[in-house]
Amino acid sequence: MSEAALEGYVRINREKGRFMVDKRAFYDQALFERERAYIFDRCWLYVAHESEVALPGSFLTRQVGSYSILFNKDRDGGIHAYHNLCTHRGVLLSTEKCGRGNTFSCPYHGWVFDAKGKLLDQGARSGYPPGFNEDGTYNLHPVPRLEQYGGFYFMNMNPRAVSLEKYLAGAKEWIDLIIDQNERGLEVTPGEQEFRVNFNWKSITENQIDSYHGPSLHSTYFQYAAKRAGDTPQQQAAAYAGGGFAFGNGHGGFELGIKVGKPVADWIPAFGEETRPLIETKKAEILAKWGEERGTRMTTRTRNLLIFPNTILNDVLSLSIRTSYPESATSSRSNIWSLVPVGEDPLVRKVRLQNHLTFVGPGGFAHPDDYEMFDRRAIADHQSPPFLHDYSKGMYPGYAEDFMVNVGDQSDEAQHRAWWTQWDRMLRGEETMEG
Amino acid sequence: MPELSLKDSVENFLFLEADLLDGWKLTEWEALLTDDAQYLIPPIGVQDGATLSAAETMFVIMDDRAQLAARLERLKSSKGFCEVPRSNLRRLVSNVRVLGKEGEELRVAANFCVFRIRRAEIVQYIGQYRYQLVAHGAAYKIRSKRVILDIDVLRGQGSISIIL
Repeated sequence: MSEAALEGYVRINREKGRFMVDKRAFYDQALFERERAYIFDRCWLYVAHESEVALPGSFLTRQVGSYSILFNKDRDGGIHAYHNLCTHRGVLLSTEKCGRGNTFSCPYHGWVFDAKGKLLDQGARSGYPPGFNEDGTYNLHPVPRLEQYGGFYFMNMNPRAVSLEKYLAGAKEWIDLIIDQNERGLEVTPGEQEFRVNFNWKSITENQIDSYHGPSLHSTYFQYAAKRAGDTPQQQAAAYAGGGFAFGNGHGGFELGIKVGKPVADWIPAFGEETRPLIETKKAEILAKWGEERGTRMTTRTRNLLIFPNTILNDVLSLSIRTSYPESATSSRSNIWSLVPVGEDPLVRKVRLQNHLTFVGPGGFAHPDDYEMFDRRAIADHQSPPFLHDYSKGMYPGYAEDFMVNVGDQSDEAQHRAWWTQWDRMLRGEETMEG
Repeated sequence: MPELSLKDSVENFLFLEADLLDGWKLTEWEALLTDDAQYLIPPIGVQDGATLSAAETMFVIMDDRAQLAARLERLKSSKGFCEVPRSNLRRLVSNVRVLGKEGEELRVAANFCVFRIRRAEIVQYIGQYRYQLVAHGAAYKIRSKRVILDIDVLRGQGSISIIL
């Protein structure tokens, strides 16, 4: 892709207060490879949560970006991420989604590796000189960088990338708001939601930090949510107030007061009287431990955080993690995992899962409508003249703020502008996230 | 006319249900439900979808009667945008078996393929139904419908925007 062709996807006019993105960003074929090399191979990408390999000898396989990854814990508690392929002839090593085992063997010629990636056996022994693997060439290939923050493991294909902690920048504060909700830690529940769609991954990603489409597109959900929370529509609309935030490095999100029930500590009538004392006790504990201001944010405020480019943490009617990756310029794959407090009461666990499903995921009351919109956009992309998508809400003529750390009303698009600015800089190689 | 066998009467009921859902007759379909009916879709890509508990595992759908009522209301409204306009639906229901009978309640299994036709694209949902049916007059009511999907990934819009 020529450098000249990269100009003009993101068009900023501060004088007029406009921030626009060319519709080609959602379907250009050449962007697919460019995003892979300049964004996905240079950014920290979410792999898995530590709870998914809680026991020594456990492993899972997962596609991260364009790579099949084998993520495991060895007998000594070391956590690794390898490319999921046999170093002999490049056959996919594990075809299980998850399991237990201290060795990985390739059925093709019988090569066997241990959980620390060491080649143990080449099957047929003759024909290899002693010291064949002395330099470790044939051990499993680890991903260049694997780091974690609060139990969330991320990988980076660039050995020179900044540390995960530095990369996360201001987003750490919001991750902490999630982690600190439970002293005993968090774990991923069984049951993963995965789906493939015929539109660009950025449609999914940008939607997650867009709160103000809710009252329009999701009115059927919000009517139901108000009923569940015992709110009038007026109370519900007033509680929508909140902010949109950019945290540096393209990360951003929104925080709202809308009452949809948080199983951790914000009870609503739909949760049932039997869970009320459990949830209210927990709320009192959090407020006592973290103070009124932070405690209230943790218990009753809701937020969506997008870690650039594509890891989303939803701290709304449940906790969930999701990722979306391009499979081509116009098709994507997305996964959602539900995150729950370790040791949560079974009654609360049940209402948590149910609350999650009122809104989230392929069968939720909101998701199918969002995806219908993405579909309609994909259709329009091919049926419209040259066109710019608008992300100017919250700007004004002569706008001089720094897009990367901007804040605004929840219904503004400050967080989108930060994301697109980082996308544009990385795509053009102006920003590499090294250091 | 000879009396219908148990299997025939169950099959007739499931075929009627299929017709109502394909025809978007959601009010009539709702009338087939008991007051405590459940509608469940376990996660996709698992082997034990028939026995998994929605209280412990993240399902795709775990509707109690109230949530199912809200789902139907949503689908009937003009604001359920995912089905505006409504997709064409057609389902094949076969291999109907009565697995057991306890008091008034029948446990029934049936295989299905549901076709959702929209904008020149056909999405297929393939799997097995597990029902708990209770006798109601000459027919039945649905106390529980569990939709176990064999497809290992959702394609198309990545949604289940219809009643399977």
